[in-house]
Amino acid sequence: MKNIHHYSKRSLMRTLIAMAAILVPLASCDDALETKVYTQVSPENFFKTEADFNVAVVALYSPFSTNWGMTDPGDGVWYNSLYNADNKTYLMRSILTTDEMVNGWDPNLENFTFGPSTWSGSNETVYYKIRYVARATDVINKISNATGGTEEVRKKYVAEAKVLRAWLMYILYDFFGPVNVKLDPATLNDTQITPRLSDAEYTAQMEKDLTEAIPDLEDMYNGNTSQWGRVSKGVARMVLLKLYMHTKQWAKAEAIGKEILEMGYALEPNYADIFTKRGNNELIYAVPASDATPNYYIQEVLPSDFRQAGSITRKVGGWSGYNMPWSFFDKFDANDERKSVIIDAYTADWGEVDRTDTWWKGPLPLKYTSFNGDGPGYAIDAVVFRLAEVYLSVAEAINEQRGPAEAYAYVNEVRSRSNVADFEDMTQDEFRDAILDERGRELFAEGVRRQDLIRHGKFISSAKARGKDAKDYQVLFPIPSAVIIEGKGIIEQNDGYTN
Amino acid sequence: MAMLITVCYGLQAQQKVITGKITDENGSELPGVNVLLKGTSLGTVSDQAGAYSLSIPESQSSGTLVFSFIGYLSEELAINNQTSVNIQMMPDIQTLSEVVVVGYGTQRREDISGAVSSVKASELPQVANTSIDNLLQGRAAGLNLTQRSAQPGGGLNVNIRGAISPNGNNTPLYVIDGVPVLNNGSAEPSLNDSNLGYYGGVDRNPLSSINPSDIESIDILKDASATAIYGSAAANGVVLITTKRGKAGAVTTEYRGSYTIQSPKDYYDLLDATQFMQQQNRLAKDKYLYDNGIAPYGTTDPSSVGAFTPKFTDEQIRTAGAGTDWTDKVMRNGSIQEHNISLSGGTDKTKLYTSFNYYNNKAILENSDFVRYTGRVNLEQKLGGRVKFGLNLTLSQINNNNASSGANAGGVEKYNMLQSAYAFSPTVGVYDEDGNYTKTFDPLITNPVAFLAIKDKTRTSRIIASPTLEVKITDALKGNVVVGIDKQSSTRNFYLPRAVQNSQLPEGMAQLGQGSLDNYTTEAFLTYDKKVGPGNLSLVLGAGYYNSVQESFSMQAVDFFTDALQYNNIGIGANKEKAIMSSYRSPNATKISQFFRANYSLLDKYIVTFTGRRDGSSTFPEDKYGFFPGISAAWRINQEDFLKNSTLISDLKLRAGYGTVGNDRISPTNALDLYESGFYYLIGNTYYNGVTLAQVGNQNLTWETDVMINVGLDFGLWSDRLSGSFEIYQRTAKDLLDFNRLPSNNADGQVAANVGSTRSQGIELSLTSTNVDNGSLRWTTTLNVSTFKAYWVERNPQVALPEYIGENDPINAVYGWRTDGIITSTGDVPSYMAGAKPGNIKYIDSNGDGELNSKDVVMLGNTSPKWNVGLGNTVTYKNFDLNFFFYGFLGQSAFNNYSGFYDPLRIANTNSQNTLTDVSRIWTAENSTGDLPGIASNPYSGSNPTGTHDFYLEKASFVRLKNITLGYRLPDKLWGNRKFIQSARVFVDVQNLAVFSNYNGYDPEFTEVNPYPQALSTTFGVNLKF
Repeated sequence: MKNIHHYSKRSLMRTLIAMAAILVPLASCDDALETKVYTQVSPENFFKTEADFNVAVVALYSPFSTNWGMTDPGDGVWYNSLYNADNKTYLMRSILTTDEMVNGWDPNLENFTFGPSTWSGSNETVYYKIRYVARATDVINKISNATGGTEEVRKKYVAEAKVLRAWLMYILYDFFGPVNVKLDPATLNDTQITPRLSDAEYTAQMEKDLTEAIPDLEDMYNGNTSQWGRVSKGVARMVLLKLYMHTKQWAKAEAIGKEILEMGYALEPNYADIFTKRGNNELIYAVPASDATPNYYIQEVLPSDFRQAGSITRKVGGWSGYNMPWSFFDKFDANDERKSVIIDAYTADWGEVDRTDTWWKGPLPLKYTSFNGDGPGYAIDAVVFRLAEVYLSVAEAINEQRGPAEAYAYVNEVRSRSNVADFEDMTQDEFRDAILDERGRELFAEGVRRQDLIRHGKFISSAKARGKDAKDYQVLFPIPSAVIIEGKGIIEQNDGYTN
Repeated sequence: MAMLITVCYGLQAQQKVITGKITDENGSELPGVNVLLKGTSLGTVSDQAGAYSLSIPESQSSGTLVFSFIGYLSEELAINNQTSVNIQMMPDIQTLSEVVVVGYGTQRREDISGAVSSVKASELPQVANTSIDNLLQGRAAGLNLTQRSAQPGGGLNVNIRGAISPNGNNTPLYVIDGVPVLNNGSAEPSLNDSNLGYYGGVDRNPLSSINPSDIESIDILKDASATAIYGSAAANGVVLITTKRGKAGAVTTEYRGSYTIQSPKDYYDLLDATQFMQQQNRLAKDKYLYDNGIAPYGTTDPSSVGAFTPKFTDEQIRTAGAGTDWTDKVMRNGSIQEHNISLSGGTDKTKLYTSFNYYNNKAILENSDFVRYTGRVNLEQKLGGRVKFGLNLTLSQINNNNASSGANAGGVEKYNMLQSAYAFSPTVGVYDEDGNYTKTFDPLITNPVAFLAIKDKTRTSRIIASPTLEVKITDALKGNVVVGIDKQSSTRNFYLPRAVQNSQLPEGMAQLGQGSLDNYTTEAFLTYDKKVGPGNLSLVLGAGYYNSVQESFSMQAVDFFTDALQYNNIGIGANKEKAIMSSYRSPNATKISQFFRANYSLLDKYIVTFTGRRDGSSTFPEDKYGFFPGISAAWRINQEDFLKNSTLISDLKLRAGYGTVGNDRISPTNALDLYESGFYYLIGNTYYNGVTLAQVGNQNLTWETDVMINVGLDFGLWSDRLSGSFEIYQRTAKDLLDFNRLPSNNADGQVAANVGSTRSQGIELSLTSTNVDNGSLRWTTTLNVSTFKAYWVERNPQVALPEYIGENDPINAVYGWRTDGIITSTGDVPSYMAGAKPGNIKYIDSNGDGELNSKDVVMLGNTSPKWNVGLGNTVTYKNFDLNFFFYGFLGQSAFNNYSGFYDPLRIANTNSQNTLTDVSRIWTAENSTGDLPGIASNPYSGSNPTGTHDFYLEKASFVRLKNITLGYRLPDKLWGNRKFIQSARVFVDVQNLAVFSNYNGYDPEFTEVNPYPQALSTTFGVNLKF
């Protein structure tokens, strides 16, 4: 037994040393505990080069896409893109609340039974784009203070970011009025609730961003196949024009509109070509689409039984989403060439469909009439801003200031292209109504009808005429109730809505 | 040393051999019994026939033999110069004298001073279940399990004593054979759904890769005085899983084979073709009235608008018949085939347990089959007298198909197979005249049968290797090293054929994905056990290093000219613009820890335990280290003189404990400022991947700390004929891992932070009773009941609380407007709902101010159960054994998960979807007694800030009869004297026989939208022992 004890003392020492050899390193390796990520970049290694600036600005473009959408990293909620053709988007809500199209998938929208809680999370696709305003503020600040690239390069990206910020602010303004955007980079991570900006502050900010950006931007990218899709001087001026029209600053609208008319853009001779020829000279901005980021509008419009209409054929149907009411279709003259992009009769997989079919909700506002394949997505750019709108806006701005005399020339540029008779011999009021209809015929399906009806004070009355129980305050959409709750009384709801 | 002993005994010249036979209480041979000559180390083990043979020195022939066997009372018999000593052993009904695994060692149940529940796997019916936690439902008080998915291998929500970290992780820490599983996740790659639409995939339970039959026992550490030794990972309790070991003695081989028939329980009651046409016409008519403002919805003159054209003519309805039963096309009777074989045996020096399990579940939902192979080797080898080497090795392979269930974030184009089966019109057949899959009225929905053509396979393999080394340094001091290597890797192969005509990807798509999840653990600790003064001192001191890495990559190819090659040659996918590549590596997840425990038991009466752990974690950038102490004490009152001889009270122990533990389970990225990619835009022809500010970091982020106080009483009456324990606890989470909401105008929505405090308070009672025990008939009952409430103590001051939420409300409270049925006529419109239409839900103006708004929001219920109960009964009569088990959740509310089907527009729209037969109850102008909301959109719902009301909120209390098992042990005499078979038992087991509840949705436990169908499983099986 002694032997055993003797043995164990040596063994004890050896074992303790071995244990210590294991334990001691375990107790002291702080490097192993470094907090590290492997799939994201951080402020330490980003905003260094032009390539960094480019991808940072690309992210500000991303909400404008025609593709379905993406999860916003700010709240982890998936939202549709602004120019996607789903019925929840900025584009389609601007259309479906008006007389130009019907859909039926969201009864609260089309019946005007919406309130602050109707759309939350994924269903409120527009309001939460406000986060991109803050992201633009971050990018503007970071690139302005960066040292990489040349000064010219930095200025160009800052200018693009400013246009995108102003444009986003306009979109929010269009739907909700002035909101509490974040413009000061120092407050980006603040938990402090800030109130909504006043109308004057808000519009002044958009104006400032756009006018500051213009000198540093390219004129236009039409014909530049590698840069098509970037915002340009033309886009900046167009957003200014939209803002001035929206706020009825007619003189400013006229002036900026005329500036655009002088830039070298030109009306496309054939109406249908505007929507099928990429980068044509009438386009001031179109959201670029490809197979990677397709445009789904055509698929949403075509009925599920659609096979053929004129030269348009498909082997499979579409999603039966949108129809133009016959009442709107009837606003077009019989020989109006713009009707060439509207399908008022088609061959279904079971027979012919036309106006005599009472169950048919109405013609198909297809707009994009040249495409290949059976979808669902198409590599066809979504037209957003184009010269015809500028002509019509200038005409409207002139009429509001001085009556129609000088305005005819502008509107008739647009009308004559489509082989319809010139406007003439109208009173100011007649011209006002006529230009509203003309905009409807020229710009249907491009997302401007809601703005136009509101500007003309006819948005609600038009809804009531369609049998909807619309309230006067519904010219603005409600601020989502979650934002009001978060706002602790500091963020005010739009007038009329009950929280 | 072994040589020394041999030499020593070699000097003893005179030997004598004692033989004998050992039987159990029933007279059956008992193998594996330890036989020891008292006062020496001479011993042996009985063989399969219960026989033993032991050589002893002649000088000891008047000595004493000690017979011991786990679960039986040790017996001592004098040899009295005989050469044959037989004995019948009696079971030890003092079940409390068991050994409990407590983390870095075991303790006798008597010495435990914390709250620990133990479950012996042998008490659980193991057939037709893929994972151990499925079996634990209702088995241990305080362990709350809710099955998320009935899919084979599907996930569960597990929490111990309440989920009180609202935004952190609430699942307990699993420790398998002493190795903590740092990241108890699944390696299975998910599908990239950005083009696909629907989410394919399984909510996988990571424990499904471990064969439940290999498990010996599960010990659940519930209070912080016990869990503190696991420190920062133990806030939600610890589940210690111990697998079976070999025992010295002859090799025993056990086989269990079973066959299970699964049939779908009552499922969705959908409209047939005739009903579909009738209901479509009926509801579309009302939609027409509403859209045109015709009475009762408005005052339009019906003759001023076009007439209503029904979708279906009377003739079509008359000849429609039943049409296609789509659910039937995607569901079937399933089966499970299981074979489990294990070998166990060993010598003094080498002990081995090895097993193989085959589990093949042809599931009741097509495309969700689950096949598993697992193998295990548990080896223990003594190297000399002081060193013991061990290896626990398990390998598993799971091959499964991935039909998905559950809700989808998106529209009808994202419908999975079940959703499309519920939505597809019964009026169309499976194929059109060209042999293509048909479309339903909504062209975005994929044909349900087309889903069967989708190939979606996952193959997951997992290896858990855990070598251990134990060195006996002195008699009292031991050193242990435990290494854990846990590697999972998984491959996903997906092919969506062109033939499916998916609305988003009609040209076909394939995805390949690969994922891996590795956990590495190294721990070394010293244990010291010695009698010190009048008591026993037990010390543990150690350190550990832990690391977890998760990686994955995937690719997608689109546009296949043929379906022939499937995912095997994705290079042929022609549309490169739709190709997607992605990869991922998890943030650094490393932990370094030191821990200790001291336990002192004085006079076997007074026990005190201190535990503590210091953890450093890579999750937290600055404040990396935390220290978590615990203390507990127990008083074994029955050892006091005044109770020692009590015939009534056989056991009485009072315990009290206090401790703190941590919760670090939040993504490590949360601490850092990050710019993330994934914000694409097309410029020219380049699809740029934009990068944007995605996260605002918090450098000061640190642990959530849980403080728990626990008082418990263990008792046994009438020689433990009735025994049990009672616990009362309070658990408070401080510095909650939560998020400071940034206002919605910020780039980022939240910053991770330690804010607020929550608490759960509860009581638990466990009882085990032997109701009858008269030799041939034995009936035992186990009951456990627990209740807790979890509520807010301190809210995040930065998150604005809506006025209707109380400061200390329950965590899972549901808020919304109360309702009072529906408006049945224009005269029934309440004054505060002017403009509402008949068929609208009638909300209650709770505060009576004549307006419906946020002030009318009240707490409608709580989705957490108030009571959890489990009741098990085992009756054995001669060779029969009967086991039945109930569990239940009581007092919770849940939304009726059928309610989405009651939206009249679902079927009334022109793109009609099928729905439930209950839609006949929808109110319409012509069905004024309907009690479900009608077609008109409710102009008031937009003013309800919660978006929630109680029209479909129901009491969801339930009790489920989970299992009934009946077994019969064939008479041993059948096997004659050859004894090739030692024993054989046949059994039948029925699972999910009944659920008792008033809930009107699918199942009160599966309240998610579109749950995986529950099966009724009937198993026939056999146990053989060789």
